Amino acid sequence: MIEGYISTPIGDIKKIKTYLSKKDILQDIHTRIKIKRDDFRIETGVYAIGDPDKTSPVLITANYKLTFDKLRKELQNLNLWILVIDTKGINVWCAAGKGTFGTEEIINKVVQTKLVEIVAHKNLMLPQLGAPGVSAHTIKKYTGFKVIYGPVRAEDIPEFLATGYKATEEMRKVEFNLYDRLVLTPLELIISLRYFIMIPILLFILNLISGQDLGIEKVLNLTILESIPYLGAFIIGTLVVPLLLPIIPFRSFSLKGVVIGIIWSMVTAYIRNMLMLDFQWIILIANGLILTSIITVLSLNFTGSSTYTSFSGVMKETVWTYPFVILASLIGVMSMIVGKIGDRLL
Amino acid sequence: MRHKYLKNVATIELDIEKCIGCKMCINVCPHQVLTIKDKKAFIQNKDYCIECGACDKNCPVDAIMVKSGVG
Ligand code: SF4
Ligand code: SF4
Repeated sequence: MIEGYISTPIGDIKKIKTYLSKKDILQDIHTRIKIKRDDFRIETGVYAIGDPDKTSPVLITANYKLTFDKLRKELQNLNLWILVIDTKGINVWCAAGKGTFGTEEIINKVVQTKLVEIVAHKNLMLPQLGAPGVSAHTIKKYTGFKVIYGPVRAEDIPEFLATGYKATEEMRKVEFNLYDRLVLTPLELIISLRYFIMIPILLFILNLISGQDLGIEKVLNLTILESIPYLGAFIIGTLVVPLLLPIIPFRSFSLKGVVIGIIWSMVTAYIRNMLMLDFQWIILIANGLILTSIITVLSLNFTGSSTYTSFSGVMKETVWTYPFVILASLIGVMSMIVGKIGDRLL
Repeated sequence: MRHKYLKNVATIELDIEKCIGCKMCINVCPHQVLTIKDKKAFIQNKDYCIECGACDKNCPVDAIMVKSGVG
């Protein structure tokens, strides 16, 4: 990562490469797929890119390796300073929300690193996504440095600098396009599959009691067949709903889930009848209620990953969704029990 | 395609009297909620607001109030 040193009035400063080595790329993939992602930190302080001097811009970023790597690889052929602040190894947006990418930390680092002796100007460039944690006028008041908010995406930085700190509307916009949603989905699926496991187990127990005369092999086959719609529901809730998000009717994530849940219930009921497993209304209704509940909860859960939902909105949805889902799944589970083993209970 | 979330739930409020039209809020907003109208800030797209609080924190005269959720 370091390719040399630059001497300044306050001593030598590390010079950073603007390309990623194989090791960096491997490390980045490693941090990305790990569920606990915040264990890869960069040392805080000032770094140099290219051959900066007293007039070169100063960029501020988080001490999360992935963020730092994303930034430096966009800075080829530029001369500037980077000030890494302590965000506890969390990316800029999340750290700003938690307040660790914040006013106080920036003021502290600007003072500690003696930035005034490194540059002659009084500008700090911050990523726009850090703004929720930062009060620009407060930083100015305490350090004399003026905060300039750069673009949302690191790739726009060269153009932003070249045009004299002019951001186009595009540069200021947070998108949530198909690709953004796609990269989020695998992790959501894996996390949610933990809850899926109990469904085949419960179905197996019910089928075992109801189908005592069928023999274990038939019971197992039936259980597997009956579990498939549920596996489908988890995949749909974590993968299909996020991907199709903008084209599913309704603005509310829960209602989007309900729509898709009902469709999936009807599709699976139709297939079930084609396979002639049996025809029991009560089982179809039970399946429908539980499948729709699962997809609804998973859809609502995706508000946590989306970039366009507000806290008040999510609260509003959560408050009405949960009572309905709990009621629906209770009725669903009870119908399933009655449908499967009701005659044996009587 | 622009995503839209629930209507009329965002808590953003703007005090036009205090506003000095510095555009800071417009610069920091990731969802283009605000614009300038007659040299003052104006809430153009309230339903795009995600309550991140960036405008609130960066307004030098405290003209914007957002209840930003932690998380
Ligand atoms: S809270 Fe965030 S999204 Fe809402 S207007 Fe302010 S800056 Fe924009
Ligand atoms: S930051 Fe405050 S003073 Fe500046 S335009 Fe926005 S509301 Fe007005």
